[in-house]
Amino acid sequence: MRIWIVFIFICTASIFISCSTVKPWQRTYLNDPGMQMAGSPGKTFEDYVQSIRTGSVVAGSYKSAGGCGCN
Amino acid sequence: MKRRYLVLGMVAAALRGKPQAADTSYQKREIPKTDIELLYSMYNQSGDHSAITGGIGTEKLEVYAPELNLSFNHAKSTFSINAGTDVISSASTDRIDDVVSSASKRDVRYHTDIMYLRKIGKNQTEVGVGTGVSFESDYLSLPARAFVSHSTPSGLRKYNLAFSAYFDDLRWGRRADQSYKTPLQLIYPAELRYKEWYDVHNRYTFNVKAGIEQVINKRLVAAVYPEMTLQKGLLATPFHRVYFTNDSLKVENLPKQRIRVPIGLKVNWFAGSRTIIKAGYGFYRDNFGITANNFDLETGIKISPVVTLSPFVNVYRQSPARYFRPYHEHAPDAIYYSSDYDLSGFTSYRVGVGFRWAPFRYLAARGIFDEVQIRYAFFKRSDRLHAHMLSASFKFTREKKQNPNLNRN
Repeated sequence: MRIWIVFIFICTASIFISCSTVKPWQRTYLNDPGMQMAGSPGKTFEDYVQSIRTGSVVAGSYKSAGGCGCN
Repeated sequence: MKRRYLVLGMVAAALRGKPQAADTSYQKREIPKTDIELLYSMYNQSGDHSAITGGIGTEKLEVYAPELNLSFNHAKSTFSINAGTDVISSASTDRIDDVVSSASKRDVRYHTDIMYLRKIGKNQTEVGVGTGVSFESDYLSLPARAFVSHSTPSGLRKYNLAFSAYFDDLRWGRRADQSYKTPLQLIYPAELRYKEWYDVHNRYTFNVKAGIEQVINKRLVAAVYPEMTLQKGLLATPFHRVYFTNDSLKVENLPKQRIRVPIGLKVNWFAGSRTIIKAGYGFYRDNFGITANNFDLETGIKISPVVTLSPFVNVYRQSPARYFRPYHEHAPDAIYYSSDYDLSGFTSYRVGVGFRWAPFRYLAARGIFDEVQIRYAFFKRSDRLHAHMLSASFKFTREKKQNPNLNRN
């Protein structure tokens, strides 16, 4: 558990200290719809199903109104 | 100890990273518009470890889920509304009663959500509130949400913080057309209705979710999503049977509090000129004893400027909850017990492909057909449960004012 947390923190910190300046006119690739962090509607549905069929939840996923998921 | 200082130092350096100067040469102009999205999803599952029959028996399940999302966008605010139904056909739910093909075989979940977002200051901060309702025969859920996000002046880093609360009622008898009429009550398996098994019928869920998204360079963006969820109340499902080694039978019983801690890392990389690689890793742990690791990989390949194919794979592994035992293996003196295989230890994978066609074509003077997305996934768990998922979404935009700068070809 601790090793995983340390690993995640190191990855996070490494990512955030290695960033460079990107001007608005240099963001062609970043502005592509496929580069957005929000998943597609289909991916959201799959993550919702996975949160029911497993004991865990997907971090960062959007949970719409609740349901029992008991079927 | 050294490692701890190293990590703290790196986190401090990351949070103190040199601020990039605000760019004032570029002003984004918002056109008032309405986004319309139609979504249709299907889910088809097979398995033979139904919790309703104590960890044995069919898990055959079909779900058809149409949904409509509307988003009214103005320069400073966005109001969105979502409504949908899940039509559920479940062979295992049919076994709550002794009579096969009873009313419990079919169920419908109705859900709707509304959300209001408003930009404040120089549009770098956005706040929002939302609520909704979801109900099916054995469940009523009332959510409340609050959301705030802030972008740095350069637009390269974004912080998100969201809070949500769900107030759920697990009593049956809410719909007029079902056989379990009022008064509202918890429904147990037919042979276990000789007593009340629980002294609560509500479930409360409180969730705090944070997010930091960072542009690394012209082609790379990364994000981290720490999250925490507290659940209290009736966390067991009243109609799940549990068989014990001495042949006794009870309904599922789980602790009345659950703390869940997921954390996720995501990286999107635009490799070359046609390929987007999206990778994600998630770690999860809760006080039921479940530890899980989740890996996501999706590759978007641009076949043409308007067509993208996205094969993807997800691998997931979890350890069992300490309250889980298979059919007929629980000790009679156990305090908490469940034979729900969703809480067992297993490995699962999900593979599939997505298709996106985004012509961005005018259908009328102010009506634009944005895109269609179709996605198929096959899900398999190591306990032999498997499922097919298919979803299709269609997006349209209606502009309030015509934009003369857009190419109308």
